[in-house]
Amino acid sequence: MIIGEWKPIEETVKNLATHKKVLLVGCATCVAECAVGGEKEAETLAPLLRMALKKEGHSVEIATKTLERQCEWEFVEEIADSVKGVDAILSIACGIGVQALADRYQDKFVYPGVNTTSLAIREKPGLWTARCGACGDCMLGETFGLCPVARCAKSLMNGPCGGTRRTGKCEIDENIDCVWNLIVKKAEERGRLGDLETVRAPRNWGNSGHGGPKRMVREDLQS
Amino acid sequence: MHKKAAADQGEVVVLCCERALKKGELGQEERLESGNLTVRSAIIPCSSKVEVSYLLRILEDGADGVEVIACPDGKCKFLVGNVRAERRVEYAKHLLERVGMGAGRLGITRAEGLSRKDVVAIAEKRAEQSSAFGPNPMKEERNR
Repeated sequence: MIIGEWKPIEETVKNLATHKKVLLVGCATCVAECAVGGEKEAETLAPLLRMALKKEGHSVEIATKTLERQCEWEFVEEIADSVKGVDAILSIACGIGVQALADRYQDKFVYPGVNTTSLAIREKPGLWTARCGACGDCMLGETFGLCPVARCAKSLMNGPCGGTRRTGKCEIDENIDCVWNLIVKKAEERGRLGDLETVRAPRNWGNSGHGGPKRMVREDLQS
Repeated sequence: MHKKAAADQGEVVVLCCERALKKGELGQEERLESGNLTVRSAIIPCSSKVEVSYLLRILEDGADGVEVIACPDGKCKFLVGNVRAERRVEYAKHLLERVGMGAGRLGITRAEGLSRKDVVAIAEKRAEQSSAFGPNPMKEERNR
């Protein structure tokens, strides 16, 4: 799922302070799963912002709506009537949702309420960890299902760095596993340590962010 | 529940797990008076029914403080409801702190066998802690 975190309240308050009526829009998909931008979070953030704004002397009406998916036009359309009466929109979806609203409702100010951070998995209740870097050249088949792009602090491709702790944790945080340590262990368990010595062709970083904005075309699906 | 309260009247909302009370001690929703303090109480089936958004909405509505009363450790009929309630209250306190409303406006008490008088005493304590942050600025919005 795509994960994120609320922007600092002060930043959001500053964005909304000059407006009179705001629609806070949640998204019931990824950001709801990571407890940042779903209906529950919209209903939590709205009173918090109203109190913060009031405390600073601003009277701003904030209504809430949560869409099933903010990244699909059909769902984005559902708030057309609610948007008519407001002068700004605060989206607590990922950056894709924010842009979808800004694209559809071009006469409104659209602000992000969330900083989108990564593609992650929920490891256990209350803990999400990055698992995919959307790099465009997946090598999980060669690394026993463990991603060094997203899970190594340096995105190293050829083994652990010198900063790996004796505990098998990363030098940047003792709570983060060194993914190369995990990869080597997995290889050992399967008796495939030799696989890691295979020389791999250079990665194609151009298939993702490094090649400019990504476009994906499927002519058979086009109307 | 009554919505209006005089501007100078303190107001605390108490959300009380039914297991924390003596049987029949309080009605489902009550308005209790104690000097200059209005206590609005509501019985809930489990303290875990309390969401962070409810706590914030109550404060947004003008209450000076909110107290959640949960049953003691190991007594929750849903096993960990009281632990969840405690975590939610902590999180809500952190959010209030971030917007400068004062974390002390919120609190949680673990108890059982409480009488009506005990509930009022707990509310008075919360009112005292809330008073450090002054009257809730949202009160004027409500009284408009």
